[in-house]
Amino acid sequence: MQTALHSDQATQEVPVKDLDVARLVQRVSVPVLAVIFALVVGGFLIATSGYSPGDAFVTVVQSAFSCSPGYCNVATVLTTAAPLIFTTLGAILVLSAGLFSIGQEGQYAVGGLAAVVVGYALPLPDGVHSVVALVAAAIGGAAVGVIPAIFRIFLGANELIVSIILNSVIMLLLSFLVNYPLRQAGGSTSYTNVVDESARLAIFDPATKLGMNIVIALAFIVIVWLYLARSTWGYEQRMAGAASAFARYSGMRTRAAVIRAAALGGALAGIGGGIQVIGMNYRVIDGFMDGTGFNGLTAAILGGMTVFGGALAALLFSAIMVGAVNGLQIVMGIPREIGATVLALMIVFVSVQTPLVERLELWLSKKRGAAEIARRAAESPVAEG
Amino acid sequence: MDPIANFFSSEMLHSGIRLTTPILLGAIASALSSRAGVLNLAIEAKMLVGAFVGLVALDASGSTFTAILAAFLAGAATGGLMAGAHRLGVDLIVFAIGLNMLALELSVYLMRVLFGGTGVWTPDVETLGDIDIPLIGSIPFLGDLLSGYNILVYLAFAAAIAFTLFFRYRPGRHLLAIGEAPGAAAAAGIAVPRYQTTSLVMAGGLAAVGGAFLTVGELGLFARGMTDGAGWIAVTAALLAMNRPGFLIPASLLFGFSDAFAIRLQSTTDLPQVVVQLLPFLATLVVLGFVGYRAMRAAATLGMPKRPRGAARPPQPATSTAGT
Amino acid sequence: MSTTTPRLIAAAAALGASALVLSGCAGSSAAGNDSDDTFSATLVGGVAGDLSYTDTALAGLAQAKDELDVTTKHIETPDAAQGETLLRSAIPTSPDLLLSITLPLDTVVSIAEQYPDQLIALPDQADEGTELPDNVAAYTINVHEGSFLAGVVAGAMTESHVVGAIIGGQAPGLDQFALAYKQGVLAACPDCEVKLSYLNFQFADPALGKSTALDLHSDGADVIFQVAGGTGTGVIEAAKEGGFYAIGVDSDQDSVAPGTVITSMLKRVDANVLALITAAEEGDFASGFTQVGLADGATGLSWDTGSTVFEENAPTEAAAKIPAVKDLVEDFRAQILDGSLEVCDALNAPDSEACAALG
Repeated sequence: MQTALHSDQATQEVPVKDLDVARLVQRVSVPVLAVIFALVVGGFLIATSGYSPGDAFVTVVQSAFSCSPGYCNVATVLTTAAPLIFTTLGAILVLSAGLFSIGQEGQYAVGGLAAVVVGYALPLPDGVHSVVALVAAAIGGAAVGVIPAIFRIFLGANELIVSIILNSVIMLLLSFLVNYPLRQAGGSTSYTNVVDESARLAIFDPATKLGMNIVIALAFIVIVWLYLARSTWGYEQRMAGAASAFARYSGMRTRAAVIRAAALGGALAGIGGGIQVIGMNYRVIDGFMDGTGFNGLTAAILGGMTVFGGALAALLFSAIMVGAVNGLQIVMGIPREIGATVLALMIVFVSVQTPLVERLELWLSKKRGAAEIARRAAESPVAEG
Repeated sequence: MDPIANFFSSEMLHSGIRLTTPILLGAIASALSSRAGVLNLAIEAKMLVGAFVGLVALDASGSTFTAILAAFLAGAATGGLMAGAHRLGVDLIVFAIGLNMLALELSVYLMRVLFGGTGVWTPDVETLGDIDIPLIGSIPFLGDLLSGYNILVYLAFAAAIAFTLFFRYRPGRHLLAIGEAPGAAAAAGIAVPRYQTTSLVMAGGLAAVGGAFLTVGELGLFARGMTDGAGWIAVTAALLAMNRPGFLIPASLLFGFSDAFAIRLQSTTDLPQVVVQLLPFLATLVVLGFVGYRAMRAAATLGMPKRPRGAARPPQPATSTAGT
Repeated sequence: MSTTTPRLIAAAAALGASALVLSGCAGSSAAGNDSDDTFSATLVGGVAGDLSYTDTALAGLAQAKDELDVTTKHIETPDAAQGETLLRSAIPTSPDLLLSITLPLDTVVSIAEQYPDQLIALPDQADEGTELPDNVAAYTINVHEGSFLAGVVAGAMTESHVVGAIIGGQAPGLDQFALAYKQGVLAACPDCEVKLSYLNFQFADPALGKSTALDLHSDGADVIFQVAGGTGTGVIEAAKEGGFYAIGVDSDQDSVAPGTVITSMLKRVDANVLALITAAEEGDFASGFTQVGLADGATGLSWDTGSTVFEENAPTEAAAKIPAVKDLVEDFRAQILDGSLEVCDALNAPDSEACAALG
């Protein structure tokens, strides 16, 4: 990997190249070390509650990654990951534009609601129906997503706080809608009608409902990467993200870029909700806001705000969740909360490690700088005499 | 006239005050942190820690005093952790997101491992008793409003008043200065890190007592995520109060009473609760927008960027705070 | 510790590569009890420790484990949205009988159709008129019959002639409790006022239950029936604190607050769980809906199973009333059983005469 990256820089000065490699290693090492630390602490917790951490680890891996002809756990991981990948991508898009909105949970919920209403209320032909449902989910998510951006840019309010309040508002609204206007008649639990057959996504593996959901998710990973890395809009929003807070909200172009990022990020999280509805549950249940949005945000952080890193973190999330429930809880009788505990520890460790690594980098470059000065001084002993 | 008087029953007032208590304690914690220049989003985590540790201590010791003290210390320790992270230059928003999730999951994990595998833990404990204030308690309306709560309710309101008075004294003024401009405060010789650490530790303790109010003070049981977002509501209430100590009580009362009002609405009318429950959140959005807009206008006339007065600091990249 | 930790680190380091190993280690020790011959039953749904619905089902599961030669497992579904995934992931562990609570019926039916060899039992499922596949058995509990008797108790015990009920939400399945209760109160005490307080489908909020109960009490209610799952524990707590009475639901909650909970309206999901496991184990699995009620002991009062917790702990004045109340309950029970009294069934016959009279 290092040679591939640096083959064209072979002629450059040696110290600079060293520094780049070091930086790359350091960037990757933050999440990897966090994962390892979190697993160690999780293992310690399991050990103190009287189980073998080694067995537990093997069980989690087996439950998350084994695949037998009748039932494939990998497929369960992928089905669980599909909506999560979308909320992760949504978080990355917004955060990389420098807008700290954590409204993915609410955007996800509104996306799900929009998809379910389109899914059962509109009579549309096969193929078209699911696309329209996802478009509605995207619009719903985008509408929620731009609100914090508008508050930030035009009213100067803290977008983070606005997005938190929006989550609370949407949670109240969702519960109300699912229990009253959108509630399926009859029955004592609260959920909406199911979406029509025509609106459901195609399924490859009926046992786990793995199907177009993961295909669409994988496609969007590539699309979002291309958008951020290759398109003008993506460039503009990255620039907006890199700018100082003042510059970010002053120029017309950056304002537009930030609002666009907020809308697109919201749309992605909304599609996540839509995918969950038309790919898995076929309806919205009271309790639909189950943390998929928040987990997306944490996966984005764990993935270092990069598209592929975030997607990988989303997969890791799903694997740990599935492994903790199917493996630890069902097979070993260890409370499944240990899975999410380990995930939470990863976030804590990532946040703590980041400044430590930055300090290390600073210290290393200072040391290199000093060495360089010393070397040059040694090479040209002219000044003396 | 009668139905209206009937609607505002003394029980509704009582519920309102009780539902306000954890929110108020959390809001003080949030405002205290903001005043020290730290956006503290881990109030929910500290409340859960307090709720869990408080009940465990109550079960172990049988003493409500020990339970509340244990909850306070556990919350203060969590606050200390946050202060340490801040000193390191950690991005406290990400850190808080992790802490919230950790408190939610770890509390249930420990509950299951230690107390027998189930999703609700109901130890055989006596919760805090209610205090009937002599004299005032017998006044018709006022007695119902002021008397007959457990000690933590009175403590919460006392803490809010103490917090208001605090700003009249030197340490309080220093804290204000730090919240407004940490750099300038440091230049003026104020020990910024020490103030910030103390504030975060105190905030953690207060929020945890808010959580202990639910378990030790009210219900005597622990369930997954039983604070049910009270920590986030507390942060919102502090913002509605624009982090001004004097406004914390009314802002928290608005949230507490909207819940009590919603319950009352449900048992007397057919109107859905959501109508009432949404109001305080929407009010906060309006306040945030208004305060922010005024600050922006002021900044525009001065020709320089200015942070909204009293509003929490926008998240900063970790590097910018590493130096302090 | 010193030996396990390095091993864990090594294992953790391998995590990144574990995707490659996925089929390699599959099945090597993939746990599951399909290898041995013991009959296995897995219950999916709910959260253990709710002191209510789920715990009742779990009691039946525990009883089956004790009394029959079966192994049992419970898979919790804390997030309703993940219920389907969890039910699906239970199938490859191939239990001989899969029991499901709380999942929507159509979801269970579609899974059952995919796996025609997997027996699935629903110990508590309202008959929604759906045709069940051959591998699905469902029990419907006529809770209105037991709720009526709970109403009789409330009507006979009240001093203020105002009684209350706190119901998790307004839906036919919950009105089946509420309206029959109201009918029972009025049968025992025609001039009583019945205050029904519906929540917003919040079944896990004890603080809300407490506030609502105190609120109803302030309106004069001195006996409150709770049909609200975990929220209901707050109702009982409020009654204990406020010095009024509560009636429990689903499981025997008399001893949650001795002397405060007069009786509990039992919904014997546990009996159904046991009956379904017993039948399946003996090879008598009968698909389709089965109605069970007062006559089968599937619903009724905690007094029916011999609970005397209230009499022993209540103030003497209240305890002295109990024998007369019990006689009254038996009178009405006989009338329900011989068909001379029609109880309102708000779930299956909401348009019946009995319900119409209750509004």
